[in-house]
Formats: sequence, structure tokens, C-alpha cells
Amino acid sequence: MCGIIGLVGSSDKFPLKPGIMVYRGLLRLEYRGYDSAGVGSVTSKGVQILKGKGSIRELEKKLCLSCIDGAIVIGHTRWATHGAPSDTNAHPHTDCNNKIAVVHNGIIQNYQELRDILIGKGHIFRSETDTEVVPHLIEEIYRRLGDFYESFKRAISMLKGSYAIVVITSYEPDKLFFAKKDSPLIIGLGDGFNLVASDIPAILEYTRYVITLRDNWIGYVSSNKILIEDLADSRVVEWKKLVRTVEWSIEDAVKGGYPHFMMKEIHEQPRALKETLYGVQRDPAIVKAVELLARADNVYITGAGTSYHACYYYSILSSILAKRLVYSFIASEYSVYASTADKPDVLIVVSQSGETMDALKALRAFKEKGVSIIAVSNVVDSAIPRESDLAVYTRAGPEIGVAATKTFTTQTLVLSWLSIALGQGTGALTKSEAEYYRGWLKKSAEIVAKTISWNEALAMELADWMRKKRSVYYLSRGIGVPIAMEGALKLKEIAYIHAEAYPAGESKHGPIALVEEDFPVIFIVPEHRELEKALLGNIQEMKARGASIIGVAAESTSLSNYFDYWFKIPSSHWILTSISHILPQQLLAYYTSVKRGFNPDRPRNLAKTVTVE
Amino acid sequence: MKNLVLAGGKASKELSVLIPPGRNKVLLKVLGKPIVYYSVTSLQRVNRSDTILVYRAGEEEVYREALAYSLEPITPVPQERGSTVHEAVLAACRKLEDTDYFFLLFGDLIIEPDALTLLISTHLSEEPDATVLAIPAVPKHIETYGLLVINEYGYVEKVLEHSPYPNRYPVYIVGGAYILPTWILDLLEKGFTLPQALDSMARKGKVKAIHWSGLWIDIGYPADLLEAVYQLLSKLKGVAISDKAEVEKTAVIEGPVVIEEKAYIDHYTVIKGPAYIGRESFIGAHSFIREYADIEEKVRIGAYNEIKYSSIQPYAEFHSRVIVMNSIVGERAVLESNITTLNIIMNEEKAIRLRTHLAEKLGKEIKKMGTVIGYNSKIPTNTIINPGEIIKPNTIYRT
Repeated sequence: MCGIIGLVGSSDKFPLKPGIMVYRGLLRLEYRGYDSAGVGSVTSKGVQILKGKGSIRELEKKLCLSCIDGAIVIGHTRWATHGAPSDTNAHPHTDCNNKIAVVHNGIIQNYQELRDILIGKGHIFRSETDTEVVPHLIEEIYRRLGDFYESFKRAISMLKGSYAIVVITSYEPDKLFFAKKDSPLIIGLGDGFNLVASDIPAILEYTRYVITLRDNWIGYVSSNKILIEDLADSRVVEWKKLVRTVEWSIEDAVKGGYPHFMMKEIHEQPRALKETLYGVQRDPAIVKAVELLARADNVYITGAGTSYHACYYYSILSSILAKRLVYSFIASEYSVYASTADKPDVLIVVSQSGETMDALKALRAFKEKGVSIIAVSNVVDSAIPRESDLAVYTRAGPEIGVAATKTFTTQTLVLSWLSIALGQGTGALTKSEAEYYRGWLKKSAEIVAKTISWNEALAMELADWMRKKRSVYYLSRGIGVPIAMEGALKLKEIAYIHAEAYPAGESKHGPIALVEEDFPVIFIVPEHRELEKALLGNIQEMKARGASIIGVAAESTSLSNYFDYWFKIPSSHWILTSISHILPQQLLAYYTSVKRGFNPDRPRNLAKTVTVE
Repeated sequence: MKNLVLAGGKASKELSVLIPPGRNKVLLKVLGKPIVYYSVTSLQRVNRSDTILVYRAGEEEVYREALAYSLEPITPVPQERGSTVHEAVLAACRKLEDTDYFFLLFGDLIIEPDALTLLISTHLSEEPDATVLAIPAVPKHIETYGLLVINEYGYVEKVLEHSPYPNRYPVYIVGGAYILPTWILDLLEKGFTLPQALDSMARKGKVKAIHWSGLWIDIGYPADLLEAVYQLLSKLKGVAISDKAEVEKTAVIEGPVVIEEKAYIDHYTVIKGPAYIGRESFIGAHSFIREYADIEEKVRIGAYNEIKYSSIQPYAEFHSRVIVMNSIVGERAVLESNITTLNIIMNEEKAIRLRTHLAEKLGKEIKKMGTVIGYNSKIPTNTIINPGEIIKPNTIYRT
């Protein structure tokens, strides 16, 4: 998914400098992707382009995107899921003579065929993108016709696939050309200027008058004119009656029909898991990672916050499945562990953003010792993957909510896959055992969808009670402990209720002193007979002191009679504990936060990416 | 995009005892306003456009009341025939001819405008064929609603009119708010019900679901009316007493309370909010008006009465020493002296859609539902009414 914006107008009519307007519009489109970006304009010197790899804010510091001159400006922000983002692959793309600049969202299916033809005609391509065929194709047709709009229309009619395209050219420097098919595009009508964008939030700061374009519509806007035609029958579209007034806010529009990003992201987990699974199944980096891990003397794994819980989960899985002891530690504590690390060791660094400063510092300290580094990240080619020997990616897509949800489940999916592969690689698991475990991981999306279905309204109901509580314990054993820790973190960070997680066996060594009548204790019960048996005693200890017991347990559990409230998980396998059992806890934290009147997307004192120590 | 509000729906038999002839459930009062006020104004705040109001022919008061509160002009459409939703939509089809899409809202919904903002903003930015509001469903309540099965992309996969609880995908209640293309009218004309038409659209194209967990109450049963009182009074802050109300010096008013104009609060009355006292109502000496009491206009409460978590509809009359809890008292009902409504129910069937706001101790919730007293009924002196009882209108109650 990418975001595009274009702006044209009379110099004296813009409410802000056009470069600043486009830059701010791009920030509004950041939810559609943020791994590379660029802007382009037409000036008296021709087409000017500023673009590169990195987030919009980083590029602003590096290139000053908002400084771009001109009364006609386009901008683009990109999210790469395949292949690394790069300076040359960033949009806008231009033709051979730098007279035409194009931004595009979508996929041009016949780009290879068009590219081959255009190369045969002498066009020089600079990038590997499908988009670059568009400026060259227009250029080629324009050479013959000498009419830019006609050339643009003919070029668009040759494209197969989906597109929202915006074009500027020094041949007609006062017009912004656009075309739409299967990717969103709207026109915003300003006073003395007009805009084109992927989405309404990008322009809402400048106008509330909007036309939503339909498929196969093509045309151009200038400072005082709009032409829209239907490519199918060349009919001119009467656009005046299509103008709508937007009464809502910028934020409302980008949450995909959910009141908060966090809820959207909770619901996106089945899709994120499917895509991550698709990625790891084919990722050669997993094979290389297994080779590195198999011959390592010591294996360390580190992360911060939620990522640390994924690390802890991996360390337990590795002991069970690969019979390998792994040292998991919190990233900011790296110096304790780095001092003993040595060349034959491996460090796995887990970071959603790939930019977490604590994790990056840990990486560098271990690297100095000659330790091989494996990164697990959600952002292709971010700092941590770049500085690592090997990178494995989750494919959760952009996560806007500060509280991690889909990135946690996808991280643990990748790490579970890795530990099975390692178990098989080292002979701790037979091929059929490994296949058996992988079979369960392949069911993760289905189990998650079912878990949401069973528990969402229950979490909403329980939140009515939970919102009045001041303190909560999360208890579990074995593989469930990191999941209890993650659940407690969720409640703390968005509902501002004190929550602590312990291995259940440890609870009687201190924490139980606080338990009194109606004290909430959440038990995470992995689907594992031995753990269940061991947890029974802990539940009884808490119950005897009047605690209210909330169970997160499979439908097959033998403990349900002990629960005052039961989040029922579809029966599956303990290897899915991190994915299935965290769901009700995410939902409970979300609804408790909302019922306490907070915005779960913007927890106080927290930032999505922590780039300071 | 035009607005279409359907306000001609029939009440369930439990709720119908509160609705006099020529009236409709959307005219039941909550915090001084008819239910149709909440739906019409929420919609108009979000989509300032022509509003078509479909009501049942003969129930013109619905139109008059909606118009009284409306922020925009209203086009009235009296529905002569049929009682289903799709017949109600078809009744307005001529008025919808000049629009591509229309915003459909059920008139018996109490809903926050934010839900409708989310609906329209998502519809315009994602451009699906249709958009529908979806409410997370508590399994024990879903049997009284239409249901949506939603996929992981937030789009509707299926629409179920009434179905066992499927366990593959998240299941949501159909929220009674939609943005629909005008061509759906062709499907309705062919005899599709609204859920069938939506289901057909969902299977062939894209029907976006809007996930909403804020204020949303579909007034279908008495428990819904009590829930509406609870939810709206929960949002009250501070004390607001009209300049034109009269409160005697020895009355005690505590917590969030609204007292409307020309209301009279007698000596030694205690009002412990959140509570609402309607226009021109009279609260006699030594009465105790407790939390979540909604006393509508021109109600007369005599001396030594106690009211909690109840809706008292206009012109009702309480003599003295009446205890009413978790109950609804219909318009012009008369409760003589020494009456108690019991409210702890053992049989949940007696209170469809009853919400059990979780009690202090988990697993030990007490389910409470008092009495629904029909309009114009009379409860004689020295009566004890069993929990969950529904008393017919125009009757003299006998135990």
C-alpha cells in the first residue's frame, strides 16, 4: 500500500507553501506506508525530484522535502513488503528526459512486457519498479502525438492491473494529470488551488470539498479547472454534482471502520499471521539462521517491551523443541551479557520498528565482540536488520497503535517457526514431529479469528468490572509466563491499572500477600496437561483468599469450574499459546482503557518507536 | 447522500404495553426526549442533508415530534402497508430516486453520533458497495438480533437473520445503521428482505463493517429502555437545576442530577443521582429518588416514595409509600399507596436482553428486573408485584 498526493494552484492562493502542504499531506498518509518517500515539482528549470529511502520525517531532515519549489507538486509514501526499499525505487519516477514525473499506488501487471518494448525503443530505466514504465510510456507516445493529455490517456489505456496515478510534466506545467482503477483517489477543491490524493485525510487540512473518483476515470486538474473523463467511453463526467462536504475529522477516516487503530490491529491479526507465515515458509534467511544457531556456542536473544516477551517465549520454546538453552535478556541490560559473549555466539535481536535504540546498542555491543546477529523486524531494511548478518521479517504491516498487538503475535510466529526449524536441523525433532508442530502454526490465523469471535464481547463485559480495579495479577507457568507478562504490560500501558505478571509458583513467595477479597487474578492456562495440573494449586491458593479468578484457557480445560470468568480458547496445541492466549488479554486491556475514558492509541508517556536510551 | 430514518417499527409484545394507540415506541421518553430525537439528531449532526422519515400511517405524532427536534427539513413518508423493514424502505423509494447512496438509520436506536461519523468517513474513504454498523455480540443476547459474519479485512461475509452462534469468524449484531446504494431498492422490490439483500451484496461485492462498541441501544424490549436510562444517566456530570424549577430548602440533591423547568421538589426529599426529573413533575415530601431514576414530564410522585433504576413515563402518578426499582411505569399509570415492586429475578426468560452490569464480586451477579406497568393501568393499594411481571395497559392489577 502506498499514499499519493498532488497539488496545483496559483502561487498567491496557497494557504501554506506548496512543499509544506504536500509534506504535511504525506505525514497524514503515513499509515499507508513509510519506508521510502519522495516529492516532485515542475519549476522553470524542469522537473525537480527529492526522494529516498527512510521515513518521511527522516527524509525531511535529510532532503527537506517541504522545501521543494513550484506551484505544482506531487508526493508519495511507500510501504515495501517485497524487496528492500531504496533511493532509486522511491517515487516519483521520471522519463528519460526528466520532463515527466509519476507517482503511483497499485500494481501494473503487464509492466515487464511494456518495459521490454520500451527498452527496445531505447528508453533507459533506473529502477526495478513497475511504476517506471508509466513515464517512459507517456514519453514514447508523446514523441509521436505532441499532445500530452492524449498521450497520457493512451498510455493509461495500455496498463493492466490496479493504479492510482498522478503525473506532472514540464510540457504542461499547470496541470496535474490523474487516472484511477482499483486503487483509491480523490480530488480536493480549494480556493485557487486543487489537490489529488489517495485519501481524504491528506487534504482535510486544506479543504472539506471532495470528489471521490471512480474506476476508469481519468483527467486533470489545474488551479481553476477540473476535467474528468470516463476512459471506458470518453464521456466527460459532470463533476459538480459529485462534490461532497466532509464533516468529519482526519483520524476518523483512516481507521478502517474501527474506533481505534489498536482495535483495527487486533482484528488484522489473522491476516498478519497468514502473510507472515507465507513469508517465513519461503524465506531462505530461516535456513541460514538455523545454520548459524546450530553451530553457535551460546545463543542470546534480546528486545524491549513486547519484543522482549517474544524473546522470552522463544527461549522457552528453544529449550523444549531444540533442546538448546537460550539466554533472553532485556535490551537495555545488554552490557551484563555482552561482556561474556564471544565470536562463536549468536544474538537474535527482536524489534518491531528495527530502530529501538536499546536493541540497537545491544546489537552493536555484541557485534564488537564478533558475535553473529540475526534480526527479527517488521520494517524492511531498518537500522537493526541493516546492521545484522541476517534478517527475518514479520509481515504484520504498519502498526500505528502504540500498544503492540499484531507485531507480537507475528514475532512469536516467526520465532516458533525458527525454533522448530532449529529442532529439526539439530536432530532434536524428527521430520514428522517438526511437520506436526508446523501444522499447528499453519492453523494460527484460523484459531485467532475464532478466539476473537468467542471473546470480544466477553472482554467488553468484563472491562466494566475491571475498570474499577487498581491492581491485577497475571499468573501462569512455563510457556504461559511470557504471555502473562505481555497481558500485564497491555493493561498497564493503555488502561493505567497496575498489573504484575509472575510465574504462578512464585506468587506464594510474596505477591500473594496483596490478594484480598475480589482481587483480580488472571490465569493464563496453556493447553498442556502438566501445566494445567500445576496451575490448579495456584488457582486454589488465590481463590482461598477471595480473589476473583479469570481464566484464559482452552475449551477442553479441566479448570473451568474454578474460574469466575472464563475466556474460552478454541482447542488447539500449546505451541500456539503466544498467539491464542494473548488475544483475550489484548481485548480486555483495550476495552478497559476505553471504559476508563482513555484513548488506547495514545497512551501517556509512551512512543511507538523508542529511539532513545 | 440523503438520510432515511425508519420510525414505524412495531414494538415487541413486552414493550407494547407502554405504547398507547396512535403512538409508536420511538415516542417513549428517555431523559425528556422521545427516542426518535436521539436517532434523527445523531444522524443529522453527521450528515447534514435531506431527511426522509418513514412512519406508520395514523402515527403522525412521530413526524410532529421528530420535526420539533430536527436540525434539517424532514420529508414525511407515512407507510400505509406492510410491517417489515424492506417494506418501510420501499415506501420511501420515490424520494430516493435522485441519490446514489442513502444513509439508513433505524429510528428506535439511541446511538452516539461518533458511530455514524465512523460509518460515513469509512464509507467515503474505502468506497465499498455498502457500509453497515456492527456491534460486538454477547452470546447470551444474540438470539434477538440479526447477525453479521465479518472477515479479517473488516468486510461482511454473511448476514444471518437468526442463527446459531457460528464459531469461525467474529460475529456481530447488525447495528441498524447503514449506507446503502440506491440500487438495493431493486433487490427489495424483488422481494428480498434487507438482511437478504445485504447478504447478497456481501457475497458478490464489498460490504464494509464498522466496528462500534460505544453507546448503542436498540429499543426493542423493556430492558433496553432501562439500559438507555442507565447509559445516558451515566454520562451526566454535575447538577443542572432549571431557574424555573422549585426546590424546597430542606431537599437534598446530590450527584449528577437534572431538574427541568417547573418541576417541584418538596421538603425533605433526597435526590441521589444520577437522576433526571422532567418538566412540571412533582416530587412529594420525604421521597427518595435514587440512582438511575428517570422521571419524565408531569409525573406526580407523592410523599414517602422510593424510586431507583426506573423509567417513569409522563403523567404517571404515585400516591405514597411506593417502592419502584428496575421498573418501567407507563404513561398515565396510577400506583396507589403501599406498593412494592420486587426486583430479583431467578428466571432470565422474564427479562429479554437484560444486561447484568457486573456486580462487585465476579461470578456472583444478581439479576434484577422489576415490573413493566402498562399505560393507564392502576395498581391498587397494598400490592406487591413479582419481579419480571408485565402488566397490561388499561387494567386494574389484581394479584
